[in-house]
Amino acid sequence: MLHSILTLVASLVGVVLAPVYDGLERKLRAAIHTRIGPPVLQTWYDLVKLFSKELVIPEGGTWCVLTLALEITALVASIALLNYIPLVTIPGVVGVEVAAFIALLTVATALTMVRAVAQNNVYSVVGGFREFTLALSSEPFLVFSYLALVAGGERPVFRISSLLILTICAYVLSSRIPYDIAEAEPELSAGVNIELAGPLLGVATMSTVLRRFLAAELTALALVSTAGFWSYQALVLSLALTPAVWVVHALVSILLGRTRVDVGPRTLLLTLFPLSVVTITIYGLGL
Amino acid sequence: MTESVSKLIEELKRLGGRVEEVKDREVYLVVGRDNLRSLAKALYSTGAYLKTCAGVDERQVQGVLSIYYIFGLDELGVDVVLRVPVTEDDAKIPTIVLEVPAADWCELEARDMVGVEITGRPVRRLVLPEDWPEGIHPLRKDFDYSARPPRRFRSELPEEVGVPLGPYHPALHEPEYFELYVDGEKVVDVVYRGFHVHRGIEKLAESPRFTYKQIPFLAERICGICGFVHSSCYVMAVERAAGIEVPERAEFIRSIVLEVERLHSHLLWLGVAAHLLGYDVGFMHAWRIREHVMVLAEYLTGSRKTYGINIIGGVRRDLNVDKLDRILKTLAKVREEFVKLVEVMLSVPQIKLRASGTGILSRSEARALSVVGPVARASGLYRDIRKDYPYFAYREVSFKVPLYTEGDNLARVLVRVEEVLESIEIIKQLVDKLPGGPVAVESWDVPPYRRAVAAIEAPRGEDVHFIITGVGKPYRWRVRAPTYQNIPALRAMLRGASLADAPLTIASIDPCFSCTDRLVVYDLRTGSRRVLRIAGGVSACPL
Repeated sequence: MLHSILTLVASLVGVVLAPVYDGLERKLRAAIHTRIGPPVLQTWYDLVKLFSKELVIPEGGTWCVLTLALEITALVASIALLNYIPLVTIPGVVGVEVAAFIALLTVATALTMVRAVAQNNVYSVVGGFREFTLALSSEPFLVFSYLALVAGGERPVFRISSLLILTICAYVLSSRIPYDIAEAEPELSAGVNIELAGPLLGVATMSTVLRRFLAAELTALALVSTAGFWSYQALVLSLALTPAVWVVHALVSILLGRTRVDVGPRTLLLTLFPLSVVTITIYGLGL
Repeated sequence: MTESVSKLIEELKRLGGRVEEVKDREVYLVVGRDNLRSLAKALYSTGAYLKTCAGVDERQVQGVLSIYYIFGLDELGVDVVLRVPVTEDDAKIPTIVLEVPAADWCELEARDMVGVEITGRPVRRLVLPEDWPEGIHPLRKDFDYSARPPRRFRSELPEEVGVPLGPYHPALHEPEYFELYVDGEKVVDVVYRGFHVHRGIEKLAESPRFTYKQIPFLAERICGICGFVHSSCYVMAVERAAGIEVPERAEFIRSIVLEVERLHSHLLWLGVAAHLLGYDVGFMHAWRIREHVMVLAEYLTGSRKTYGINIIGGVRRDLNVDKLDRILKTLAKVREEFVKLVEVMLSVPQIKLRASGTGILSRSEARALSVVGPVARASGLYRDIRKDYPYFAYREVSFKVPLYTEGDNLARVLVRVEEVLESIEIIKQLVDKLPGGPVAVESWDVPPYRRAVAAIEAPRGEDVHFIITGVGKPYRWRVRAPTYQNIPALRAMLRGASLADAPLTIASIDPCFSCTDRLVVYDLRTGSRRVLRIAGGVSACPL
């Protein structure tokens, strides 16, 4: 019961703080651009405004609304499970919670693609396929590295190698430059989000922000667990470390340009596949 | 006139051309339509570029309709103008597109605007809108500027409404319309349709409300970025036609302001290119540096843009010691910050990777299409009007013309980057050598029916103005902006390219379309109209 309450509180704090972190990112971006930038709470202001607008259902409406609702539910549930896992599991054991977390994470990505195709807009469809390509080239490695960290036991080199893979994949999960190709404003005019407006766009925006939170917290938790922390300590430390990881993610995205749809996935595969082979070898060597 | 030019004229005479007028920089020949293709071919094979062609209604003065084909011999610094007259009853001229592919658009424009039929090629409307009535040609002298012909509405909505903006939005916030036909993410073909907001500026200049003195201010409004180029080119055309000797100091001031304009234009473009590649840090800092130039422009001319200092015979504003000092200080700051920015920008992996090897325009294609400016120079064509046809004070300064042979987007970036640095050096030299004296002639007169071609190296390439003088205002004023010459090259640059590279490739010619884009469809059944925006949405608005 206590675990459930703690998970609920931590998840709620995450959901509330995620748009604030996004506001911080915008402020940081503006500072590097030599602009003043919006207030830190601007993302919340945007969301409130979007939710106050009339509901406009795009073409392909029912599917679009349904997938959007399921997508954000999957993301919130993923965050909750991520918080819950260190409280109720023992390091080195892959339980049903871990399997559920992986399943929800995968489902959230799949739903983004379904939403994109459901909108019946060529930009959105192209964006959906881009999302699919990126997911194919990073999510299997994300799952692999997460499982490796959860079940890998006391092998420091192996853990660090897995952590490296997870860090890269989590960044890709955050849909930031250079991997924002599914939305890529100058190329696809918002791509997967092109037909969305008002509350639906608000949900999609929240979904992006939560995805970024998830990516940051996942990386933070991986760091904390690699450092040897688990249970309550791990939860508290990972939540404290999440904004720092978010800032690092933001800095990387600010300093890079957008990748191309064929180059990005290829680069990921060429990086992640050899890294995974090395990681498995390290495991085999018992390091 | 050099020996080479004399030989060329003899050759053109042998092919059927008749010399009408020979000037220092221009040779005018009359050509019968039967000989046009052979003359065009001969000129093109000697290395001439087609600058543009212009349909002219000369019925009031010569009883004919004419098309003027303006060829530039860059190496000799001479323009050869072929005039092909035809009678109104038999207004047909054979196409030269097979010999000179660059004539594609200007032939169609002459057909639309003056009503000379072009034979031997497929024709379509280029400039006139769909609903413009048949048989009405706006640049004929008997068509009054204020006339508004009845629109030819369709009784049913056109089928194009179904796919109004093509399968792809190339993201430039101007009224361009590209249909990119894609196979997966690979572009297999490109169709461009432009002139959505054709403003009829050439016709406007013929209206009673305009005189020679007022047109510089109209010309400056042709472009929202490099308007000073157009006013300079216009005044140069009039001054050449009328034989007006402009004071040297005025020529220096014009050159300084032209280079200031190039600086802000290239910085603007660099920022846009960075934005298209998702590198907004580059975008913001390029525009921050540009702001120094904009403030300088305001200090020198009174305006950040649309300077309004060009008048026929000189300029309206002089430069004093304070201004010269401010120029040098600003340039030092801009140079320092720009060098740092470029160093950082080109070290961003995505910028270099995505610009290299994409949007390639080969030298032969660039030559065939007579492309201009940085697009030509990035494809290995040594073309720069400032060197080839020195004007104003450019003959007094030394500078390098950046040249690359790769023909890709990166080459076009690098050409512009180097041009920024060259412009800074040019301005420094001009400031250093600025002569004394007046900045405008006291009086001038423009005799009627004189002709002149003027060209200026705009930031986007060669800007051409052709003028036939009239009484109190031009009889015919033809404007050919550089983008007009470069857009047809996009087809070659985009075919086979990745869809993701299309925005940068389109932007790499630094296109200058026009202002607000919208395509209005009238529905006669409901009396409403729909505005189709380029971003793909359809919004309803009241009439």
